[in-house]
Amino acid sequence: MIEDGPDGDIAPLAAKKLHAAFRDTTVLHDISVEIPRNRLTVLVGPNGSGKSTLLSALSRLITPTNGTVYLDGKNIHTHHTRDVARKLGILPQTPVLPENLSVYDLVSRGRYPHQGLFKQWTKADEDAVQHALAITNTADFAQQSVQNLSGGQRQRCFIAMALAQETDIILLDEPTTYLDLRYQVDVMNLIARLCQDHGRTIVAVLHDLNFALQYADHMIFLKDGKIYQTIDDPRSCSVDLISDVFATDVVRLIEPVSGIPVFMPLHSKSADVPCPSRVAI
Amino acid sequence: MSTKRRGAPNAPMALLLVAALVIAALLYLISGPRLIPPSTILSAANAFDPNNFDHRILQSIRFPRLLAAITVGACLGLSGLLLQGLLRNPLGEPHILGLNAGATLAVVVATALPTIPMLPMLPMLPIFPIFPTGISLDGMARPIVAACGGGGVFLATISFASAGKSGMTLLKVTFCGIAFSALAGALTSAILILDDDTLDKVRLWLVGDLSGTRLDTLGASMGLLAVAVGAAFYVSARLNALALGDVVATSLGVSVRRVRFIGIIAAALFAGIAVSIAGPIGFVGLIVPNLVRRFAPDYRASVPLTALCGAVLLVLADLAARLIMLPHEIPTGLATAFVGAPVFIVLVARTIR
Repeated sequence: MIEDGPDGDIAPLAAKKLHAAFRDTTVLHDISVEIPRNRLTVLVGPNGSGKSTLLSALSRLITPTNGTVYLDGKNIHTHHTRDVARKLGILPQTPVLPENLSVYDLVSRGRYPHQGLFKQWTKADEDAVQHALAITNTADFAQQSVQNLSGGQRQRCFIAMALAQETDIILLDEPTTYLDLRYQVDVMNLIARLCQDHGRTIVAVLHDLNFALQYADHMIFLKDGKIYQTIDDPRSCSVDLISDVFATDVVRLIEPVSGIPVFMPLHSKSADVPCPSRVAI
Repeated sequence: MSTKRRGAPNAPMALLLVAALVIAALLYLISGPRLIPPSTILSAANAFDPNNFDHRILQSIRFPRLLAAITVGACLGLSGLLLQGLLRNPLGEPHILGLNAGATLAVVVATALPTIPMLPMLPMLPIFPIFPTGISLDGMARPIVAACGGGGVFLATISFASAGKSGMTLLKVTFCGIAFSALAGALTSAILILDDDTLDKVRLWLVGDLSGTRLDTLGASMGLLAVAVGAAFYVSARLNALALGDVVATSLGVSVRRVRFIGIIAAALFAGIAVSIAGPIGFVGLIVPNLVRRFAPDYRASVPLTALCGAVLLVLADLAARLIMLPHEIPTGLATAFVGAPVFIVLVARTIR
């Protein structure tokens, strides 16, 4: 068991001294994290820093070589897999999309962990599906085949499926990859709403640092399979932190509306010019 | 807004298929070198007269063969459906992935075991002491031996196909299946060339044929069939989750490894039962599940629908095989290949772009 936090609340999902290996190479070293409840936690770091591996370990997809993942304070591998499925859902970067599947059918597959051998489709199942369709604005094309939808609509359908699963915790692996800017915003707004208005605890791997900063309530920076730093307020994100984690010189700008910083890499054109590298503007 | 009731849209299709099966079965019993009117079929069912020639034809030839066609068609369809679902590969089929060839090889080896010319080497094999005189293929032993052979060759296929960095791709599975089928087929031919007695016993069976089915052969498979059907229903709800990828399936609380394990056993049993009754019949397992899943993407519905549709298709194919060259018959496997081979080519073209 892990100790209670200061407010007596056990973190819904936590890892302690986690080590994980992938094909004989260690990719996670001594990771200890606590995922705060009803917040959007974003995992950030360069390629190969172990973000996706950490997400896989947190969701029991891989078994750590050492250390433990705790779901509601209990080792996740001692839970029955179906019980985990009622508490924690995972959406991979590229889920497989079967042919001829309607949006409604896709979303209703999220109800699998709630259905038993003799428990047929209940009102609770139908309500959960309708609710998920409504939140994600996918109800209008519920009877259409998912194949025929745009990338952004498809992603919302898969998120709706994860919502229909009615888990408190949802893990998302790069939910905005392959999407146009407009759809990225759509999906990020949806994710933020799920935390604020619908009581979900979400952990997402995001490739785009600036998107992550604008939306995250809690950020975990990873580098070389270790936690580099954890911050609660994106405003406290410094030039040093970003340039160290990503091994790139950056400038820090402030997004005028939110007051949250934005980081721009210093590209080669500006490198010769004497410039305020590593200086906050 | 959506008021779709679960399962409802599949009810008309199920009714349609049941009606098609009844009509096909009636046609099957009526037609042949000797036409038997429906009234005679009814009287044979109500008051069987052993001295009536037509009644005897129905009882000893047409009715067992009809039951065999229904069973084998359903088994082949279900084997294909499970393979396609487990591998997420529309080309999954017992004939293509080596199950039929493996089952055939196992039955031929077991039949030939006492007369194999390499007999002096057999004491070196660890199984020899158990089967000093060959394996008796009576009763349930035959479908079990066939299922083991089919399952073995299929496991070889998927383990070879998953070697290498890219993992198990669609093309690799298909090619490995064809390669292992060819290998098993070559071994089968080698044994049969060296052993005339066995060849005589299995010659017709080898191309896949339903003629000469006896009710006791069929009856011996029923226990195994029940096990396989139970496993298919267990797997079906989980295949819906597996269709979305291994990660989503795990997320939904499905134990992916267990489902694969049980599903492969069921697919091997279905193929083994089909092969032990009728020999290797191709393409039913390919066409039927692909057709059914277009209308019923939910596996809980497509399991019974595939069984029905497979039965209808094989009854019709065998009817054609019996009638097309009257008074001669062609083997059932040839009839399915005539229809199935073009469908296979279309599917390959659609799948591998």
